[in-house]
Amino acid sequence: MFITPAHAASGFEIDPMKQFEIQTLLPLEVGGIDISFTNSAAWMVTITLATYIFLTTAMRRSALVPGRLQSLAELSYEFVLNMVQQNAGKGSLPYFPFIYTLFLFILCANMFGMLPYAFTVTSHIAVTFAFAVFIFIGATIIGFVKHGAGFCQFFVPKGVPVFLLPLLVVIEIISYLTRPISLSVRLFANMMAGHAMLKVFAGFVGALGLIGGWLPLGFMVAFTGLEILIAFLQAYVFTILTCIYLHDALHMH
Amino acid sequence: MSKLQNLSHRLEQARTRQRDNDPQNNQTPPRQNAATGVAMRVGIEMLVAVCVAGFFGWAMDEWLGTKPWMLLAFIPLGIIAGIMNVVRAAKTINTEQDDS
Repeated sequence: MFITPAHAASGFEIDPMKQFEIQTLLPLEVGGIDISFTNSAAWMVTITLATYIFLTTAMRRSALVPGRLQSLAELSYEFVLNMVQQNAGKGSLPYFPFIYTLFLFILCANMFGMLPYAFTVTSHIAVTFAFAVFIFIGATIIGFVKHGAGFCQFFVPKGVPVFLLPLLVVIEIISYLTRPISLSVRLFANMMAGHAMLKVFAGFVGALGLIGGWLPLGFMVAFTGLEILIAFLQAYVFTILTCIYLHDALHMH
Repeated sequence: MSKLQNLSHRLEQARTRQRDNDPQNNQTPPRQNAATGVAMRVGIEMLVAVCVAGFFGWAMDEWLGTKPWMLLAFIPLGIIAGIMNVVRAAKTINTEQDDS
């Protein structure tokens, strides 16, 4: 892709960006638009099925005193519920199912990406940007439905001299428009950078061989742990920012 | 006293015990002060604002044929918007850490 394969002295070949390649599994074209079933789509289906199976099996026998799987499901539910209630404020509960789904999907996508040979769906900006734009447009529509034209006041800061107002409104609008982009770039950049870094260090292990390879190997073990933390943290940040945007749409301040 | 009430009572006791023993981990949201996380979150905010404003200015230049004036006007606005975004993000990160 962007980086030409590096050839180490031993002829060992690494290409840190190869893991992000989209491969067509089932070519499909409708009306000149390529809608092939790719490895990315396959992983998304896997993630959806995994979360579905996880939640249904966990809650099949909803015991009063939960078992391991059930308490895991309840824990995630309560975690997101608290997040929504604390950050999106009053009247946000109707949107909880969406946010819970979003959190589980992104968390699973990030975590499945940590498996060897797996494809990280969220390492593509096309995927994260689609999420972010959907949330952004959705939040804007909610804002206009709840407040009507009054939602435009969101872009007018209070207690500002009149002659500065036009400038500040433009700045506020720019700041609002950056939301979907910063939301998507954050997730995508974190996932891509982390995975590329892991591959680069894996390449070092191969290139340095049996003698010098132990140091990068140790580093990789530690870095994998950090990556798992980042995978969770980024899912958390993505959902919490969704809650904050929802809060702005519902309460306007 | 039903079995259930007894259980909820015991649960509550266990929870308070856990909270007292472990002042570090009694909050549900993960701690955000992993420095790189905060840096990423805030840094991207700044970068993206400038990029969006720059793109806006460029697009308006293309549309109105006023190269390069709109771009020059919008980039400072983007920088201001970016700084505002950073301040806001820092505020939310602070409150997240305070009330958790």
